[in-house]
Amino acid sequence: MTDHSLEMRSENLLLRPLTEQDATERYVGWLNDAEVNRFLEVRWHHQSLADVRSYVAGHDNVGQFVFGVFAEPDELHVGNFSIKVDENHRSAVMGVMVGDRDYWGQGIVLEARARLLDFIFSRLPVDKVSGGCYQTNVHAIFNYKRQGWELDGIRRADRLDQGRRVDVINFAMFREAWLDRNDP
Amino acid sequence: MTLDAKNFLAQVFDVEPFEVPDDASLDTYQRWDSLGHMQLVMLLETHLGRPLESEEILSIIDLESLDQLLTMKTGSSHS
Repeated sequence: MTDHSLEMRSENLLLRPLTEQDATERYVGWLNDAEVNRFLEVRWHHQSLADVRSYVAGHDNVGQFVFGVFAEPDELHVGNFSIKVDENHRSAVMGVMVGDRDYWGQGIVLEARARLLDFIFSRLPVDKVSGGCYQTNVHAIFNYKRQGWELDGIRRADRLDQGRRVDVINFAMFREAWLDRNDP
Repeated sequence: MTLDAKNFLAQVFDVEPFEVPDDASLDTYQRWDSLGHMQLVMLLETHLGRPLESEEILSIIDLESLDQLLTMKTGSSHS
């Protein structure tokens, strides 16, 4: 069932929690696409419709969210953001996947993430949001820097990417920084 | 700042070097998008002959930082 209270819109996007109906073959195809899943842990195992349904069902939309990113004007599902909240520490971890390659380099990560940061810092008990990417994921690094996230540490040679050991670069966005950025 | 940094950006963004503003940065130069940033890193890695370290990738934010990476290459070739 769709939770309409969590629906959000930005200039070109609709963001809402995924439902079982969003678990489509198109979505499964992204997860098994070697270009799309290059930096995702799902790449180690072939993904099925059942896997996606289970993943979506595993988010309670209270402390764990998976928002679909739907591009206007047709509300085409093009990717997802996950958010996992740790209420004890007032922190959250955010992940992103743009599955539809036609939308790579179109700025939707920046647009969607800005809307979600607004949501997190206005409606959730969170003071810090963390994200991260491989050092070889230059698109992601660009997006974090363009959006004003600060460096939060580097885990050296932590992951394998195409046979090479690579760093994981962690970024953080703090409540004050985000609100200050939006308050000229 | 050397002309090389502007030439690098001009090559990546397919413009003439004089069209790259002196204050071009990742935050302000509209042509500087994620695809361009990826091309910039790849061009730098080709130029330096090695993959960039995380800190080097993170350091690329404007012409001055780009110039520092290019200068490092020039400096190391004379050592």
